[in-house]
Amino acid sequence: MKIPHSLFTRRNFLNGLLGGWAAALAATFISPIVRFVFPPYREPDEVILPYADFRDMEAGAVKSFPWGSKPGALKKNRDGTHTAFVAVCTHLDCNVSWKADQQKFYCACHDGWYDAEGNNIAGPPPTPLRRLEVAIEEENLVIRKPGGKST
Amino acid sequence: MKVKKLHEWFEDRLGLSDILGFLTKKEIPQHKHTIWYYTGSAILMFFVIQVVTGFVLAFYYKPTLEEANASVARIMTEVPMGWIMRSVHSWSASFMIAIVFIHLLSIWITKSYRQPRELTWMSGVFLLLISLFFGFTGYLLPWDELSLSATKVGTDIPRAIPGVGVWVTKLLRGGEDVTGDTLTRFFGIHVSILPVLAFLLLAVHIFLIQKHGISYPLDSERQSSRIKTIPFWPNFVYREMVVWLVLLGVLLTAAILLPNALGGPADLMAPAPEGIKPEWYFLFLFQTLKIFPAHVIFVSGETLAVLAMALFLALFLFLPFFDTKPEERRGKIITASAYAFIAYAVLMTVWSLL
Amino acid sequence: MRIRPTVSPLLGQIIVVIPALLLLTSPPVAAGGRGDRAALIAGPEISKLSTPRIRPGSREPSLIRNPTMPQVQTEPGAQAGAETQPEKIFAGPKDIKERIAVYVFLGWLWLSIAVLIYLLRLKIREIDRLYDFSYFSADPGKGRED
Repeated sequence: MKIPHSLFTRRNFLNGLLGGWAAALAATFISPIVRFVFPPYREPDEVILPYADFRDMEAGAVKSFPWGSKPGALKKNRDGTHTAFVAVCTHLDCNVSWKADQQKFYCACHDGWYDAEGNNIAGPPPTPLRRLEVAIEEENLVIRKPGGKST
Repeated sequence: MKVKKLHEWFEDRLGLSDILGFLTKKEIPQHKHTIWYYTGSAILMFFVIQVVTGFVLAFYYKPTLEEANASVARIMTEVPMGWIMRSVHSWSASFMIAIVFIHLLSIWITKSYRQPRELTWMSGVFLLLISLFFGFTGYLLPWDELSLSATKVGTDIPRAIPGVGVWVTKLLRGGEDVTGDTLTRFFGIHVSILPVLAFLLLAVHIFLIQKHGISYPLDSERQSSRIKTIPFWPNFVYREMVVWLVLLGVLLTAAILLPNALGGPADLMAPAPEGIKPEWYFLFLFQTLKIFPAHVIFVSGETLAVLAMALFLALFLFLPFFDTKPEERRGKIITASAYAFIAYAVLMTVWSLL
Repeated sequence: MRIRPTVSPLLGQIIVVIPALLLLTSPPVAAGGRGDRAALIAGPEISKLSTPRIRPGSREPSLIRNPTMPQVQTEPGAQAGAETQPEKIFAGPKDIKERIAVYVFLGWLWLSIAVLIYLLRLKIREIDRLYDFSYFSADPGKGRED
């Protein structure tokens, strides 16, 4: 189908080519800068700690450990097992504290409460505390993301 | 036509089309020295690159004695594209200073500093000093052995000035010696004081150029009515873009294929390493200092050298006031002095590398 | 019709001279020679007293000179207090994927520069011609279209 006149002039075409290619080149400069400015944050897949530090915990006690750049909470249960949580409130990311007398986690920012299993029971937190898997291997306490494999 | 309406909205409030109108009327003469006109915007391009790469590097750089070297190492190894950013920043500094010198020499030789452009020249000399000081302060920031030594030597030089010298050294170092305070001070100077001064002086410099128009070099002054001119916008700007593209390509190629390394963290208590050298643009000054004898009669050689440099700088700054000849005078002595300076600087630089 | 040589061969020489000057004083790679850009300007290895221990084969950090790999040699300065001899860190791409990406980028860069310069020259020719026959000044009612 022949159209009576062109859709754009040769001048417009060349201008568009120039501008478009320059924009593409600019984008290749911008993208490394963007990658530089937004570095990848990687949570650890697992954290290995010396078990000796945690051997003498009483039932119902909670000790903190580093989970990447977040705090983690390791709780010794009454049946002798351990449960690990990421001790960060699911509401707005404040670090939670453990109230041993009440056996609850408490977030001071907006009065959020979690029970001993990490379930959100009062206040604004929408979901329970994130759980992590705990394993004791030889002399080490290994804490992993749930479902993750050991390296 | 929404775009047109938006355009009109801004036009009513900002009146920017006046600026564009001015730029289309501004004329750039075409003659055999036109090539030097490209150096100004080239400097500006490299300066913008410095600002942008500087901004992003400052996101990760930590300006304290304990962490500076480690933070640069982290930028080079962990942060994505970090080594490229640092390399571009470093190379662009060298390119910018090289073109600043070329720009300076072209003005000097074509005598474009003459009336009414004296203030343009003087603001330019201050911009040169600011650029060199940018380089000097930036060089210390990685806090490796080489940069610490270069800074120790460099901040020791003003001490040779009689009277105020000691205070200048103390001001630069934040005390008697180069310490962690020097590093933090240099960082503050490099990222806040110098940029503000640079922007202010650039504004003055560029305003004055627009006000007086581009100068015609000597030979063509006589025939100015017969010289062909092209409008600044868009004719000359398109040509400038070609120059920018080539320079950008060379910069990125050099930065990516020849990135600079990082030495281990500097040790303030260690003896000075052998063969300390400053960055290439200071080598000729460095060598000048070296060739002065330790004592001349009762004056220390270093004092003499520094005073000689200060004298030269003063002559340089006030050059338009020495050369007040009307345009027709060719100023052969001044041209000769420019070539003598080039020869001296190249000679001294090469000598210092041997 | 050739563009009048305002973007001239002289310019090309200047563009080449600056990096050539910087590359000119290429130091011999002696033991402990750095081979990096700072060394090009600063001359041979400055530190004899605390000679950085550099693994052989990794002396030349740049892509041109060292086709074999990794550039990162050591932990950053966090360990420096514990080490007697701080080691140097060389910059560069970490693995083969990054190296290829870098070469592809450089190729794309120069290709783009060539294309953009070609198009810019066309624009320059166009705008010069328009200016020469007073396209803009003759009729005050005519606006600039570009």
